[in-house]
Amino acid sequence: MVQKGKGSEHVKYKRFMRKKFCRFCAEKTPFIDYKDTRTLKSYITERGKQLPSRMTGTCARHQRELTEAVKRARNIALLSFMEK
Amino acid sequence: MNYYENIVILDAALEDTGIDAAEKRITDLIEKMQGEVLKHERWGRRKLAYEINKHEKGYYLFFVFKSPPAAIKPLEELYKVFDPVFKFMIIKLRKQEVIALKNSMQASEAKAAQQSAQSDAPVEEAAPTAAAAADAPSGT
Repeated sequence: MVQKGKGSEHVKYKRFMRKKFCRFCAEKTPFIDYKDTRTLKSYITERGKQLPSRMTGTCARHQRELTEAVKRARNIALLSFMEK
Repeated sequence: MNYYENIVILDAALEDTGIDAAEKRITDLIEKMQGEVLKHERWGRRKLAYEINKHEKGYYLFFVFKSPPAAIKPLEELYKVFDPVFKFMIIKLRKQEVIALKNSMQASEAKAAQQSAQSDAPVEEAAPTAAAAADAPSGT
């Protein structure tokens, strides 16, 4: 019973959701460039924190690469650690 | 031999001659350590995303070079004592990045070659493409 209820709720919830996908997989980018701040900026919040993959739909592998790229960009002052 | 990518931030208050000198000193050191500078760019004066050592702006230099791993240590030592440099980052390129780099370099070389060929003989360049276009429909 409980499971049934859960399932219907899930379907209802899903109806309003667009399926997320990993942009880097779709575009087959060979690697994520830390110098490309325009791309990186779409994966961080206004405050400069990185967005979780559950919000952006990025796959695990590219999320890892993205993290490294963001960290590199921050190191060399292309991105900020924290936006005031 | 490894491929490395190097960003150096210089003091933005530096004169152009100072930047030239700094760039020369860095390339000289790389070449002295059996390295080879493949690409160097000047991104110019940029606003930093955050303040570093009270600096609001910096002059970005960007290098891509090929060198033995032993060259990195002296380069970092130089940056630590070299006054105009206040931030630097050296990164070893991964396989995919090296492939992309080689492709881009080949493309730029081909483009340069094509441009020189075009300037030499614009008529010759146009003729084969027209011939190819004419061949294509007849073949199918």
